[in-house]
Amino acid sequence: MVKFSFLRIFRKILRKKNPRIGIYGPPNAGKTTLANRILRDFTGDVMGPASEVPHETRRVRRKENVTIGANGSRITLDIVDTPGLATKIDFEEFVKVFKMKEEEARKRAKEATEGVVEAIKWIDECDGILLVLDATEDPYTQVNIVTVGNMEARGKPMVVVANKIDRPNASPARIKAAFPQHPIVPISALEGQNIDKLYEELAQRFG
Amino acid sequence: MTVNVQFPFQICLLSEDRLSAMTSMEKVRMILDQVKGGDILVLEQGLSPQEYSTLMEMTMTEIRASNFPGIEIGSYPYKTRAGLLQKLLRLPPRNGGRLTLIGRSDRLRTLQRDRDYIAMGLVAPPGDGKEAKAADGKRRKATASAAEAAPGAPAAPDG
Repeated sequence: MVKFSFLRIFRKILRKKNPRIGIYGPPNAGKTTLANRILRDFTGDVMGPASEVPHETRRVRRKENVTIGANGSRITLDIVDTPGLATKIDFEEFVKVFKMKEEEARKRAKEATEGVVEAIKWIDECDGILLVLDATEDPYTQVNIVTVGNMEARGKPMVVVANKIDRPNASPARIKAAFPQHPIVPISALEGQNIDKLYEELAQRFG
Repeated sequence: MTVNVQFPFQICLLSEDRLSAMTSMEKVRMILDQVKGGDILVLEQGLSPQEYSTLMEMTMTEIRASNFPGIEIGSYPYKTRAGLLQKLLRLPPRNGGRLTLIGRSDRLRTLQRDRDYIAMGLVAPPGDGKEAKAADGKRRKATASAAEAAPGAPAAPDG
């Protein structure tokens, strides 16, 4: 009995933990779409619903033991999908732009604020970060600058994903120019364009 | 002669010396209090990434508790400084904060942004003179408490 317990402890010490990779980025960059793409490709599962309305993901979601790979590279990861980071959430935007009822908009805004706090708390729980940016948008936003600065200050490895390259006005080059110190992978999470390149990069970077 | 004019908001410039004399929480609290009152803050030296995270978290708490819509921040990307010690010990580089503009998100809008250029627009607060007067009173109170928090800081304006 004692021998068995020792063996278990020894195994626990030796067992290498899967790297936990957090998918971070501003609202509507395609974080959940990417998480769904990865899970669909390798497990047949999905992480959660994605939509055009900002702050669709308002709780952190995690999937363990996801083995991904491409062109001979393989890695098993725990994937964490996080709510979009923001410095402002205005319920009136949900009412005016997305035609929500006021009560629903207020509830969504409240949950979104909780989601942002939860996402920030999870940074320390992650071993590496996938920063998902919308390649059709300006990359120099404060949220992006702070997220990159936080990862650098914590010494955590990061891959920047320039998402939505299927759109005509996408400019992954602008993202590359903004964050030249990090690997940038242009993809379309929705269409699956260039996704194997991202899987290769993940296996190399976090393996 | 003192001219009694009500300003709808004020632009406050905070020096690097004043900011470095404050703790992280003092900075974040002072920023939120003044910004909520409608002021626009110009920080000579921006916040560290960790301080921004705290500011983001506390902003979310304020949004949840009131009708505060959040904050708009304009700043350049960090200048990464890796000293010899950092390189030798393989420590993460230090990120130095840079000139930063912060305001309520319904008063300050980012119009254009690039690596070395930021254009921001100021939105006049809604309402008549009464609201401006009320905002002015709140602002003076916040300035006075910020002055108390920072040693050697100037007193709140009177008149």
